[in-house]
Amino acid sequence: MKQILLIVSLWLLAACEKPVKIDIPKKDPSLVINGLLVKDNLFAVRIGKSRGVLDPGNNQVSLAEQYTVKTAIPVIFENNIAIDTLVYQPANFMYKTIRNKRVRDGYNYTIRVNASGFKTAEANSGLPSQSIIAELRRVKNSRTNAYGEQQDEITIKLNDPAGEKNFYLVQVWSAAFGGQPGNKIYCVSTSDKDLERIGDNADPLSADNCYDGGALLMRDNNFNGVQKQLKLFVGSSELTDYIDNGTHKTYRPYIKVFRITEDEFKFIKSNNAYNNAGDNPFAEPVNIYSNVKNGYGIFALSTMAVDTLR
Amino acid sequence: MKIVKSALPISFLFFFCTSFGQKFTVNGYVTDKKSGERLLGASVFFETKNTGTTSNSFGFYSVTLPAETDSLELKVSYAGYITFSQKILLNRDITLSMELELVKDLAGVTVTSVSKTAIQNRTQMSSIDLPVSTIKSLPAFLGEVDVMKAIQLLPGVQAGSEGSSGLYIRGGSPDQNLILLDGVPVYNVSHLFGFFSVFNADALNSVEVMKGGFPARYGGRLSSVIDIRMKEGNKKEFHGEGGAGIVASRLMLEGPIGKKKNTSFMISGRRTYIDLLAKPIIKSQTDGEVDAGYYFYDLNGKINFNLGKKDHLYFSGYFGDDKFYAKDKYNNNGANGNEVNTFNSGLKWGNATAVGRWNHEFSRKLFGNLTFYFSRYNFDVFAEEKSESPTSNERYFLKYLSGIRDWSARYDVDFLPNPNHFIKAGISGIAHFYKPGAVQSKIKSDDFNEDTLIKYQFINAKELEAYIEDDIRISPKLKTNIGIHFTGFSVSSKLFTSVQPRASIRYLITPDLSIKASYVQMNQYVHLLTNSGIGLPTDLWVPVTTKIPPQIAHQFATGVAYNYKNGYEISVEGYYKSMKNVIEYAEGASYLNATSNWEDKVEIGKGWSYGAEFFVQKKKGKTTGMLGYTLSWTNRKFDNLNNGKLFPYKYDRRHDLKAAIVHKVSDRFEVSADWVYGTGQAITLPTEVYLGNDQQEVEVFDGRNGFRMKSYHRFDFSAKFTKKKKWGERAWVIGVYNAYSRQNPFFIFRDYDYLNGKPVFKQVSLFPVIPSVSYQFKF
Repeated sequence: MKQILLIVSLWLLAACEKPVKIDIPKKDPSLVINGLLVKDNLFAVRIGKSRGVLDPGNNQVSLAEQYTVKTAIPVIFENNIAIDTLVYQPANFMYKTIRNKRVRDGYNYTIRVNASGFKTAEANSGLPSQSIIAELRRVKNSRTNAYGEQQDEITIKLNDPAGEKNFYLVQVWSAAFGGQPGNKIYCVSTSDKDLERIGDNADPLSADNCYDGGALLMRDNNFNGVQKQLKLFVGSSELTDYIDNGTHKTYRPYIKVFRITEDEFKFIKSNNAYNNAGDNPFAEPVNIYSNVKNGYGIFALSTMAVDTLR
Repeated sequence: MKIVKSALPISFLFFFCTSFGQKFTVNGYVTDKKSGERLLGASVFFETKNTGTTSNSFGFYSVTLPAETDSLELKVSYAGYITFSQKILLNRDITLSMELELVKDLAGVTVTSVSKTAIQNRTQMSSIDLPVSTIKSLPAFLGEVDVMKAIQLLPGVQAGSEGSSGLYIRGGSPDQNLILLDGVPVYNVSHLFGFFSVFNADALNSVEVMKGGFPARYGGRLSSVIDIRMKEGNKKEFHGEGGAGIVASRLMLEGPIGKKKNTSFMISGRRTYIDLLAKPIIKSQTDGEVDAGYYFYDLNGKINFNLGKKDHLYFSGYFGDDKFYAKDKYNNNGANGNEVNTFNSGLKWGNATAVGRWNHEFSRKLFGNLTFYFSRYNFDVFAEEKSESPTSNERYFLKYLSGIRDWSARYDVDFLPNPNHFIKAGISGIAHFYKPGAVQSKIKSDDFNEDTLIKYQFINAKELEAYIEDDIRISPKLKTNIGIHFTGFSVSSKLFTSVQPRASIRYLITPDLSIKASYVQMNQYVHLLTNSGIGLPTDLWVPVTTKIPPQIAHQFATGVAYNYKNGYEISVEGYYKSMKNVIEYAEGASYLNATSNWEDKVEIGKGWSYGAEFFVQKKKGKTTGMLGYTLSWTNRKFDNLNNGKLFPYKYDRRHDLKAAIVHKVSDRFEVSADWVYGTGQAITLPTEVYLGNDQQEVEVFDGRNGFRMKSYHRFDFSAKFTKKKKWGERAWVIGVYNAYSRQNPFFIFRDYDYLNGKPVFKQVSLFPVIPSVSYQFKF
């Protein structure tokens, strides 16, 4: 009887999860370029490769070791003039300038990568005009949210240059502590219509209607050439100052405003959408935006302004 | 529009050509002899004149003919019933109501399925009557008879995900189905996340599925109309039926009210008892601290009154809810002394419909019906936390509400001036109240008390509909149904209007064989925001906006209908449907919510569906059943999806084969089985991987829905053992779902096989073989 029950139980449980064979078309590997650089940064990028989705790889080594192309020749062009060839640094799997070449204002940059066995990959990016925070205000404990928590009101004013499409990435950071730069605030409340929701927290069970404080994205469709006022609400307890007991120095929470390219804007949006869709079998999968010709990845430049919250 | 312009004058020409001379009218009602319920769609025919009509939705008929000196034989037939025949002398107006008797009462003849006028005679095409008796005889998942799952056995209807009651009809999505219960739209037809539907078969009288060739009286959805009617209640005798299964129990009672038997009622209820069975287990596992459970219930009721010969009143309603609850209570000896903490949370969602109708016979040729209805769907979720101690009391309460509410008034008239015309016209006004979401928060402590309600822009919309259609008999062989449907939809100070032409034609090649063709335009003014298409309670209905305009479909269909010896109904149809302004998720959107900028998360595009359907239905004899095959293609195209290239719809199925059979071995033993086969569901899968900017593996997807899961097939079986008792009849039903335990794919994901050191695709399946047993009774 026990045997019968065991067989019946196994049969019932059989229909759960099993490997299936699916014929995936073979593709040649492509080069992958990843480099998001801010003005005045030294040139540094990662060069990798793609592989078939069912290729086994080598599970014994790190992902960086598996995917990095170590023999690539990445050349940086400034306004179409070659200015540097980046050199591979095994310590962090990156290609870096050894001539101290930095991202400079007023130039367009191209990266062209050659590697044996791959098609030449190339990407380019202009540098957006300098990001400026015209005004930053904070009203402590300005309201109580649906959970009864006190929130601070943060008002950021930005002057948008006229006659061009501008894209913004705003980040709210907690105070730096212990040598760390602090944390991006997880939940920012706002009713601003220009903010594009990307980290999709629009769950009806969530009363706070959170935006990801690390990725507040805007495009200037509705405020081209005029001053934009962005009002945010953040839990007051998230924005406390940090006083270093050793140095007695006070660290404050702060705001970063990046002016980014359209490519980076699309990349951030799709990257977040990709991560959101990842664990949901019902969500339509997403391809992360790439501006790399003959390859994958992102190469984009930005400018940044930073100010503390007092 | 050209079709409307040319067709209407032809219609009126025929009307006037046939409206002169001394004429008399025969009119009345066709009813079931045993129950007194009215029979809709019965054929009323004068054989010598080769002319006739059909009874309307309330059993009323009217035939007007020139005066005759000789008597005429009037024949009234309805499949499954003995044909009624009577000679009448047409020298005056005559009122004649007929009571038809079921054939099964005759010895040696068995009919388990009943339907309306024979398939080849109907002008309408792409329409299938699914007899409730057939639905109840088919194998049922966990022993629960399910109307929606029975509809999934029809050609042109795809089932969607495993186990769900969603319907994808001729390439349309579930929101494009107009599901009517006694003429009232039901917005969410799912229980238990789509595994069961809200319709309790015991309470139903008829189910009609229209996939195309929609008459002008229907509107508001692109792809189908599913017209479900509740039983009126037996006017002659008190009866009841019910049952108990693994999941639920149900009971239906019906009978006359009062001695005159002018009034009858029907009341039906069903409730699951998963929660009751699980409660002791949960309590024992949590030392009595946790009380949690889930159940759903349905209540159907109908009452109707004869207010004389010319007036009839009906009131019916449906109420159903799903409830999930969890309560956790524990003691904590904290700083404030002995503290009692209680956590209480729950989800509740459900529909309610209520309808009142007043039939009035204005004249022998003119029949009117006034309808008032209310329909609502609500989804509420709440969480409450209480902390009580001798020194302090705190309560925190959060509630989310969403839903839709409709109020409507409608007037329809049927005008039968002569046997060559059956004119229907009507007008209706609907007030829609969309409640996309609201959060209520209550916080109470010794020094703080706040009650906040955050509303997310409740939306009101008004809809006006008007239609006129005429079923025209051009010659004994040629019939056509021509109509127009007008809709005006006003929302947020914006008015959307449409004039939707409808036309169908039927030509009888022989008395048993006809060819048919139809064209319809359908407009839809609501969208469903859903993250799965499997009928989750969080699905939200929202009206059209200037950014997301109304969906529009044009459908052409043609086919043949053949009735073989009144035993087999065979149809072959081809169709082509184009759809505009259909919505799909923007890439990465997985949860749509009207509280956020949902318009930014959907893409607007076009869709096409075309194919051929073959259907055979056997309705007479000891063995009845149906066989359907569909060959179809369904594609979508969106500017911002798949690089603007055409891609297959998720539920595009090249081949779809379904067979169902019911065999009555004896009066005491009946077996039934069904087998379904479908091409695998389209799916998007990765082809490459690379290391992204944040040093995580990133998958590259090559074409939306570019791959196929394995084909779907399944065999279900059931056996019914019936025994007559003094008080009535009882039956045991033993069923097996997925009898050979086919591991049908639910979804596929990429995983890593550590044993073999390589990535693999894994398929998740839901239901293996599932046996069930249920008990039924009837008295």
